[in-house]
Amino acid sequence: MFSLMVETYKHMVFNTVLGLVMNFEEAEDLSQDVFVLVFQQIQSFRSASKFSTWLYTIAVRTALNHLRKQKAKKRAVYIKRFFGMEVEQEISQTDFHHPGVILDNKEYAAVLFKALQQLPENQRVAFLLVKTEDLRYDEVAEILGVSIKGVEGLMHRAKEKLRNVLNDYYKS
Amino acid sequence: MRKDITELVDKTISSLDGINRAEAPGYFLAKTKAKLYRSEQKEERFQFRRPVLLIAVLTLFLIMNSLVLLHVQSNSRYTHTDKASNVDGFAKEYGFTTSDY
Repeated sequence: MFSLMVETYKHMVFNTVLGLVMNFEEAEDLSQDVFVLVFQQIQSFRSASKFSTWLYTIAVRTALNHLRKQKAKKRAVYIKRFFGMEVEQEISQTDFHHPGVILDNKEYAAVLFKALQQLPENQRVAFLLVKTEDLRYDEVAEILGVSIKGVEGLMHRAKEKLRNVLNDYYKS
Repeated sequence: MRKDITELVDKTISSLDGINRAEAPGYFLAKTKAKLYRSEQKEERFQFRRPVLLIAVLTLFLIMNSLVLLHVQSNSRYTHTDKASNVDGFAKEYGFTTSDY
């Protein structure tokens, strides 16, 4: 049963997590964590909702938790540096190239993924689920636990914010 | 210029249109199974943390404590009377009576 579940949903989970963490190794590791977690918590799955929706929710939560931990680590490094303490060399963030993007759009997509990092969590998740997973607004609403109107609002604000960020980027 | 930037922004925002799903790397299933196995083993090692076991250990600890306490109490009662008779014997031997106090 575990094998069947992994084989059926591995690309879906990996793609979702990858869009959020923008790193292949971390995305692979976290996707594995998602399946282990799902298998261990299968009793808490309510059959009223779709299994894939539940899986998306766990994948998104796992990726966001990871990003929050990373943020906290970065803050700790900053504080350590401030007090003149020695810290491990930080690996600088390079451009992220999503393998599914068509060749003509590669450069634009790399800029977009950079700009996406400046969006609030829920806007980024909504935007990525719609764009990279091709989900409908009602599906995103169920995953995020908000109304369809709420998703519409998130998408609108995400696009607005992206426009501002990209405008500044191209002007400079 | 402004028009160029707007065009670039539009192109960038729509750059994810028609995107394909990124595929999970090879041996994903095998690696995930290995991770599940490791996590199950870890869980077995920490089984004593389960609430049922914790309660059982705590109850056993309380019972043992109560037994020791009861045992000590019964012993102390015995020594107390022993002590009293020793004091009486000592008083008699040296000719002390309660009226001497």
